[in-house]
Amino acid sequence: MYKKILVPIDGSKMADKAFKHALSIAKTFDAELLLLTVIPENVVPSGAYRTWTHPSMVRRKVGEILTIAREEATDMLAQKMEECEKNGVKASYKIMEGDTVLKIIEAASNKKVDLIVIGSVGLTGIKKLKSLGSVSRKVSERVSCPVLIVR
Amino acid sequence: MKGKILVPHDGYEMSDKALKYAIEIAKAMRMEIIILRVIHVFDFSTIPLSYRERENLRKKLKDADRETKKHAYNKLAKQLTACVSEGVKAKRMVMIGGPVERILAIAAQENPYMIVMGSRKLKGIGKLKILGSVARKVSENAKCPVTIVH
Repeated sequence: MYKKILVPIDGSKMADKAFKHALSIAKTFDAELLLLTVIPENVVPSGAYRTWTHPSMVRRKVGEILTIAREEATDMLAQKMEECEKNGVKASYKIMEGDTVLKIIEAASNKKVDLIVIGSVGLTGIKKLKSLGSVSRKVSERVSCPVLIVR
Repeated sequence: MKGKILVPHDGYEMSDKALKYAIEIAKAMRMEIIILRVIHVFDFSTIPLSYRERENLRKKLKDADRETKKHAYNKLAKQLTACVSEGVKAKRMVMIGGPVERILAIAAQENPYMIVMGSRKLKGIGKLKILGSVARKVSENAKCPVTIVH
């Protein structure tokens, strides 16, 4: 029934939980996992630009930050891939850059996935009022395949 | 794996699609399906009525509730046979009240492995809020995983 399962991972606890859930589903249905990390456009904190006076400096610094982000993402995904291998689940990973929601949707339609497993963001206090993270909400509203929201 | 899958069913096409999907999962994971139909009723508690009128209305509505409950229960037979013919154990439930509260209450009570529900397909301006409000609220507040079928 499931052949490909997309798991967007951002490194949070919820994403971890979603990943574990996806792993167990993939095992039962003998499916392939596709791990996706999106590096958002606003990865550079906006205040940082103030201290970078020259355009070439901005370019260089942004490049550095992106490289670090890419490395971190690769490390994180490599760990997950190992875990997949241990459980005998076929998996592949992808790192994309851009708007998180759009990239997840793009990946979902390009790779023709059968299911997206995504973590809800567990917020506390007053934010419980909108207790679905904006990314998981937008994804669940816009894609055409089933979405499993793990919490 | 032992567990239950809760399928809130509103009697429309998308719910049938969600049920079909739930059956597939239940077959593979050997789970039980609970089909839940929630009937939304008119709340007259805020309407100014005299005591006698209110009591009268309540009595009449009680009968009507029982009737609709029975009707809805019988109507779910088709969905139930769809499950059973696939070899999936299933049971049906009919509740009266607000859909979101009832679904969440049953979810807390039965502790299902996941909830599978259909989203509403809307056209035009309705697309702005593509998830039905019930699906959205349940997916935001349920303790267990929620799958939304499109």
